[in-house]
Amino acid sequence: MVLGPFALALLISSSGFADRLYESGEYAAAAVEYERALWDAGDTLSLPLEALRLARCWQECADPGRALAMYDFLSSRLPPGYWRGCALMGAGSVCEQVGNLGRARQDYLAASGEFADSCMRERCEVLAALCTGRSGDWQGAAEDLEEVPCASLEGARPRLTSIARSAARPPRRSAFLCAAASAVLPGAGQAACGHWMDGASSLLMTAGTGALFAMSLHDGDRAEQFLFGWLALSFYGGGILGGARAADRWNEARMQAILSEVPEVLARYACEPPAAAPLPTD
Amino acid sequence: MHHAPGIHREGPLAGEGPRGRGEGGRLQALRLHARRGRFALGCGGRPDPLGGRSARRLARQASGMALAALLTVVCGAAPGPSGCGSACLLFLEYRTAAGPALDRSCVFEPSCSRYAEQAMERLGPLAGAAVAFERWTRCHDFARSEAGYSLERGRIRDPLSPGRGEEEEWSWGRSLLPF
Repeated sequence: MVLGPFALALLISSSGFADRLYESGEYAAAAVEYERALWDAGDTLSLPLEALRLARCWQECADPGRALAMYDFLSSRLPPGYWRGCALMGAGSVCEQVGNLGRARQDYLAASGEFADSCMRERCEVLAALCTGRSGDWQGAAEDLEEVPCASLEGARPRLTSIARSAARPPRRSAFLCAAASAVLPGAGQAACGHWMDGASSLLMTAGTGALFAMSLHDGDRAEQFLFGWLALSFYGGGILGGARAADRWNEARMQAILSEVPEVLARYACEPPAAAPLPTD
Repeated sequence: MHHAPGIHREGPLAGEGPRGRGEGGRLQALRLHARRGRFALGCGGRPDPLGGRSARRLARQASGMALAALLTVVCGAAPGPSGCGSACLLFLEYRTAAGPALDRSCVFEPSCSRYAEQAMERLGPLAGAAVAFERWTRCHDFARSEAGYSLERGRIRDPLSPGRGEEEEWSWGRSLLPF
């Protein structure tokens, strides 16, 4: 009886210290403190915010498997409502991080059904649509984004829809055509993708080793023929491969440039955490 | 009668055709070579002490072999069916001795020699050399400013094939978590 208030005060102070570590980005240390707080509490579900933050710490410390296990535990045990939605959203973010976009989309959509406030619900639907896009269907993502109710996303939604439409039809360079151009003139495919120095060095090395090979053919030296022939062939083949790779890098760079604005738009419309977190109810 | 230096245009065997056997055929062949510039005869009509090869040809051969040696050492590739084994030795030698001595810092991560080593191990001497040479033609100081590369501590991250866990992980939802 005497130790009860003291233990509660200790628990609160431990959690407060963990919160300070968490807010300052010291996720590894915060995870230790949250684990201690949850151990002292005896029941993980009685401290849902601490449990969610512990999972987030593991997620930030490059341990997505452990984080997903905690999020799944919380989403399956917590009663329907805000905290369950948070756990589902966390699970979706882990799945999105590791590339399991189908499961991420499902989790985000399930999370949107748990939130009562429109702010979080709309953001979960936006994230689900973006998962559709990341899996390759940007046209579908644009259509999904248009259907999201825009009570709190009025500024963000048109911009995100426009980005999704741009990503559906990005400017492209054909890897095959660039490789063919490099086969005709070494370095042409790289130059067509803006990699002028790559193209110039490929042309020079192919021409140089080709000239040495031609000289060795003229001289009749078998060892030189073998060496320079192998070098010329390797540089020529490498140039063709380089043309195709230059096109792939060009396409990837264009897609990254299109999508680079998404995090900024999302960060502008992030929801504030509730001032008084609702307690779990059975 | 004017005699070209070193070549006896007239003599006991001068009348024989190019296909004739004996000294006449050899002389005809020498004339042919001399016209092509492949052989130069030394003073006094005797072949020079370098085995009949001109300094120009030797210089050309030397420059060609120097270029080949440079390419072989820098790119870490060696020709022939046993190219992979000798290439690995060259990579090791280059990284431990030649690389620091030349103070050459590759703009890529992994470096071109490691990349070439991996390519030769995985793809063999022919395809591996093509992949390695393709990387080598991209290795210049302008590469950092070209589009399509992601920098990692000032070096361009460009693995041969990204392994498990090496892909870039990112999540838009993480920035929107309300806790």
